[in-house]
Amino acid sequence: MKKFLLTIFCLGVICLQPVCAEKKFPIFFVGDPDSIYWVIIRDNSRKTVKFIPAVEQEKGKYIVVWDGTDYAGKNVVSGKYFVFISKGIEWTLDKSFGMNGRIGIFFKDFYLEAGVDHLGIQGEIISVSVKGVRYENTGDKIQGETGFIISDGKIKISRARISDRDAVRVVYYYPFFLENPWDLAIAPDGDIFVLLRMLELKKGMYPGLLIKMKKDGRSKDINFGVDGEVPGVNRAHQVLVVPQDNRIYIAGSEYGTYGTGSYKLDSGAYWFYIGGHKDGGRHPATTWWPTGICIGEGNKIYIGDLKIYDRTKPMLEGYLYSANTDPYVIRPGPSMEKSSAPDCFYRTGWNTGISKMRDTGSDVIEIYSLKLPFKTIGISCDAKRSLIFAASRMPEGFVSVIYDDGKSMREITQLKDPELGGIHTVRIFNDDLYVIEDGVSYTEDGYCAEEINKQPWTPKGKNRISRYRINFGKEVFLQVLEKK
Amino acid sequence: MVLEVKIKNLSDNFATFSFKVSRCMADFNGYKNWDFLPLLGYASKNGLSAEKPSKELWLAKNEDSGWMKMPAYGKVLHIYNESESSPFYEVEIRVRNKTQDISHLFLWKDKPQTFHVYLYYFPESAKPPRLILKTADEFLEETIQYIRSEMKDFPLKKNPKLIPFSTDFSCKDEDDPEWIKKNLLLLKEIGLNCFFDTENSLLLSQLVKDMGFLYVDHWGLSSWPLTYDGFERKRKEYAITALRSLDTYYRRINRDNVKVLHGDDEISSGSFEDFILLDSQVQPLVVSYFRKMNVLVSDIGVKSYEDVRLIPEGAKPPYKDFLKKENPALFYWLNKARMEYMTDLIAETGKITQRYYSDAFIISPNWPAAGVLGGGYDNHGWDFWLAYRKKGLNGIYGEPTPWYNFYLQGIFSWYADMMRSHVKNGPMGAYITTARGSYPCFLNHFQVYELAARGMEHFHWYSYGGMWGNENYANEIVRDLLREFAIVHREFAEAEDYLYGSKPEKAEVAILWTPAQEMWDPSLHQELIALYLILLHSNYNVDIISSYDVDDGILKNYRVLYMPFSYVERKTFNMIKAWVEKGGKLVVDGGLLKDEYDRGIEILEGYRVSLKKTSDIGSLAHLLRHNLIDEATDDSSIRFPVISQKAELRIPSDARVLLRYKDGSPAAFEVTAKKGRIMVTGFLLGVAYQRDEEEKDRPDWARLNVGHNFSSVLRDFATKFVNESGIKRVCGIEKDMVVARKRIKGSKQIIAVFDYHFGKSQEELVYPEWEHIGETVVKIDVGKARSVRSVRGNVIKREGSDIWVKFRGMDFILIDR
Repeated sequence: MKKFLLTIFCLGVICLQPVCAEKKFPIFFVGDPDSIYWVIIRDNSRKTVKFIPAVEQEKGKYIVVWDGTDYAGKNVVSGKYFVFISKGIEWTLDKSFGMNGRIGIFFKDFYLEAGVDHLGIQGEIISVSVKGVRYENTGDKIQGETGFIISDGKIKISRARISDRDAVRVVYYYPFFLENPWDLAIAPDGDIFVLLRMLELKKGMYPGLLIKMKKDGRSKDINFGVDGEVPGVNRAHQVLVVPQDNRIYIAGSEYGTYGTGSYKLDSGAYWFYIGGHKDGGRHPATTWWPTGICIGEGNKIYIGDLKIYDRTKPMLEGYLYSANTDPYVIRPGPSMEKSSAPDCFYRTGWNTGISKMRDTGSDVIEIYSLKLPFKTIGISCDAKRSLIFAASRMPEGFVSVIYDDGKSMREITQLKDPELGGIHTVRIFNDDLYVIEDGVSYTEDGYCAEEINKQPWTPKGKNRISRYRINFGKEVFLQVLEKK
Repeated sequence: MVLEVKIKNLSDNFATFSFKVSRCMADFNGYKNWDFLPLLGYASKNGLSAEKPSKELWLAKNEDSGWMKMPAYGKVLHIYNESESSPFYEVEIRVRNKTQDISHLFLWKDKPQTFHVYLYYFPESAKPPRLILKTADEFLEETIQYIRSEMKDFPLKKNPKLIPFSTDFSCKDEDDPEWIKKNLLLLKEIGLNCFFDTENSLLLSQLVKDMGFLYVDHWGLSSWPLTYDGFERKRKEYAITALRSLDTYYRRINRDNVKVLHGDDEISSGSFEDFILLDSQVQPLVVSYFRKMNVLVSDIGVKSYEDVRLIPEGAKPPYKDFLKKENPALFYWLNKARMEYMTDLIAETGKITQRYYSDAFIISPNWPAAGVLGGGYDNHGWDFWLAYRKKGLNGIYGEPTPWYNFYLQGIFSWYADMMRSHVKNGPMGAYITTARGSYPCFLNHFQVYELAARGMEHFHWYSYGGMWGNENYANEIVRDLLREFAIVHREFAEAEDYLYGSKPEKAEVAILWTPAQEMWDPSLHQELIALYLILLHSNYNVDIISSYDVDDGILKNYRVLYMPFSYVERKTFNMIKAWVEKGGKLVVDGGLLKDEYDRGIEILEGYRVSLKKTSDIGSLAHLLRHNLIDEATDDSSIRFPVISQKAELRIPSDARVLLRYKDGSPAAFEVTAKKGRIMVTGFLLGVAYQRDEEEKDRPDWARLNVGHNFSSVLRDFATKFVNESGIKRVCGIEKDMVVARKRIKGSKQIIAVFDYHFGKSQEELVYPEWEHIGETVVKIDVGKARSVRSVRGNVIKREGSDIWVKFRGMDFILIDR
């Protein structure tokens, strides 16, 4: 992060005085032109009250107007508040995660040395290519008479068939089977729950798998579920970890009912499902296609299209009410995310942007939305900064950084990495941003391929999870505000 | 039976109705139907019509249908309100048969859209039904009142708290909670303290908790289907099933009090032939096991393990027969490999379940009692000891089935002792099947005593019709059976402080059974049972042990060992020989021994045998069907009928002939072997004893009259070594066919005593109903005792350590020392 010169533009604005008739606190400063600046309001204990992106009024002249409220829109108590400024937002690949920052599909090229008759691979082998022919791994064998046998994580090679000059390309999942990652959630200790939405029925189970991996992204937590996995979670969409419930919730995990599965956080044991079909879908509590889920206040959970349930009760027992006053909300959103305001949450529409929803206690209404110039599915909210990270599923993937000021949302910047393809979703946790590129990914316009068993195209997508470290510029103290 | 219905519309709206009858208890509750029962028709102004009548033919206010005759092939009549308005009707029903003609008028108002009337029930076991016209609620209420009034003056008032008595009851969440409650109330009234919560209804689970059942049973994990995908894959499959089923919201309601986790309903494995047919698919599994066990390649006729083929070249099906003949060692080891794999899987289901229920009393699949008894698992090669004993399953649960005709000579004792041998006196429980039509009142009562005397501490009244009825048995609640259960519970409440946690008195006599025999010829199960019954009737404590026990050095605990079979592992026999030479007494029942590779074993120097087998034993209840091959007799009254097989014996020079065949050749002999002795019989002692009894009594099995004129002379011969060893009969009871078992718990002791003559003279046939059971008086040596009391009978005299007890059928004697 480049150092920047900070100039107090107008001391007179430290105005807690009656001149601020609306009790707003404009904060002015001068910085580098065409840059992103953040103003951070902290209370006496240095706890962040609000994190606000500055607006460049004129070249190099920035302003932030704080209205004296916190994220929930409540007026903060009287007292001294400390204003800090930080410049910019960057991301860097966290190379301590997985293999140099990523897990998922990798490939490795080998030229076999004389006498070598096996290749060691850490992970699960997908295919081996030699002389331009690709051979798929079908369990413990490579298809066809290829000269390869896979056993105990090694590829045994028949040297009668493969010469020293032949290049061998091995495509594999690292560090273990990770086909089509779809979502993830983070436990308080940083361990990662990855939801896979496999392309076909695997190992006799419905094509959904929840894996708990250690935070370094290199191994599973084998004490969870069965050897670190909870299989058979149907074609699930979104996974939530809710430590206070000791539960994991998985949208649409229940085959046949599309119920939202509730599982024990410590063991992965199935508890029950919430919602689902009833009476062929005629029942008002039916949850159709619960692609997105989100936890609300108390025991509430918001499901898909949009039903509100008490998540402590099974099936339809916890049904509270439906959102049906706004035609928009009947369109299921593929992703939902809790907002900084406790009665609000975000949801994405199918390629229609992000809406902010408010739960009125008897209904859920859209209070404002942001149209995005790209197709997005997954979002993740950094509640302490009121920032939303939105994944772009366009061929050249990027992550949009959006600020919600409580009245509207606006895009601040886009985080880019030329290595990335279409991104399915993102998850922020303690300034670590997990970026999921699914395996089916996009068509050219970023269309979401949901019908994975019926797709007329070859699945694309880089099929990876990467971890980036989000860096904000060093905070510089600007001034004290005194609120009376 | 004739059924007639007249229905009158009292509502302001037009009405029509449809009718069905159904057969069983499951739908008797009034909220379920059986689809396969056809519609009987619709009510209209013109009476019963096959099609739904047009509206103008519906009944107007105060109009009735007239009497409609219907086929009465069910026990519950269901009347469906086919109009949309709420019911307000008068239903008059008439039923009659040869002896009864009854009618009843019901008012159907504001009830559910279907009205149910009970047409008949069984007041007494094995008696004809009685016609009745009651609603389900009325009938249930009447049954509750019946139990209450029957138990009002019963002297024992407590219900059991330590020993669980359970049952199950099926319903749906949408069933009327009041109806479910009433059913549970009946169970409580009977004295059940445990409920098998199969979690088919959250409502039911909650009501079970609310109504204060002390214990609950749940399903555990099933190993079925047993496939050969490899242990790791199956382990994962089981673990996944457990993850989805063993810790769910539905279980949480009653999981804190779980006593028993029921695994597979019955272990079964498919046949050994099916295993061989999998050939190359299971070859890696076989090779891996052979490697682990260091099987000698020379034994199995290959150069290396990789050369092992389950279907050898040139073999024709059935391959097991080919292997038996051409490569017996491979036959044996393939069986072992299969058993190892299967039992690993079974054990794994137990281990996984235990992780979820660490405090459960029993975590077990259902022991295949019927299979072991009837030879139903013959050729499957099941090694039950390996599963239960060697692989750490927690406890054992069995289902001693009641329809074996010889049950009242101690077959449940055999079941329990066989199960006990598998878990080494570990926790045991049993389903008590309650089939109506098999004299269940006395049978079930006697049965639980027999099982409890051997350490069973958990009972489940399982219905084949007697209690709840099911789709296979068009029967119904039998009130006298429920009353019997109520009495059993109250008696066990008296005895449970003495029973629960007690240990059996030590046995010094053992019967051996071997996995090798299981593989080569399981038909001799019947001889094992028959020989056991000789020892039971002789009133000696006896343990059933396995080759594994012998290998573990258990023989030092015994003075006499019976081997009622042919096949024994060579290593095991060598240990038996060593035990004999140190003073043990061995009875080789049948005269021939072979090892696990089907090679002859030299029992004694100078002894040769040739065996002629005419047929398998089959069922013990039908031994009269066997041709008499010969007789084994001495100069006195001993006369053993020889059936099924006969061995011609060339005996050692120092042997003493005990019995001879008709032609004078030796049929049984004894010989000294260093400090011990060996007795060899060329015929099967057990089946001869049974055949002798059947010959005398000619019982009519179809009528279930059980003959019990067993020969004490034959018993005395068979137990010669026991006698000569100075082993005492249990509690010093010498009375013919009166048997006791003593259990000890600190300063408390309990003696369960049984009269297998049921208070009748020796020659009389026994009808197993209470009205035919006579009184028995027996002298029992109770040792030093501070106080002695009888649960069912009376202690009529006490003198020193002896007491005289008068009882009917069976009794518990409670002793405080």
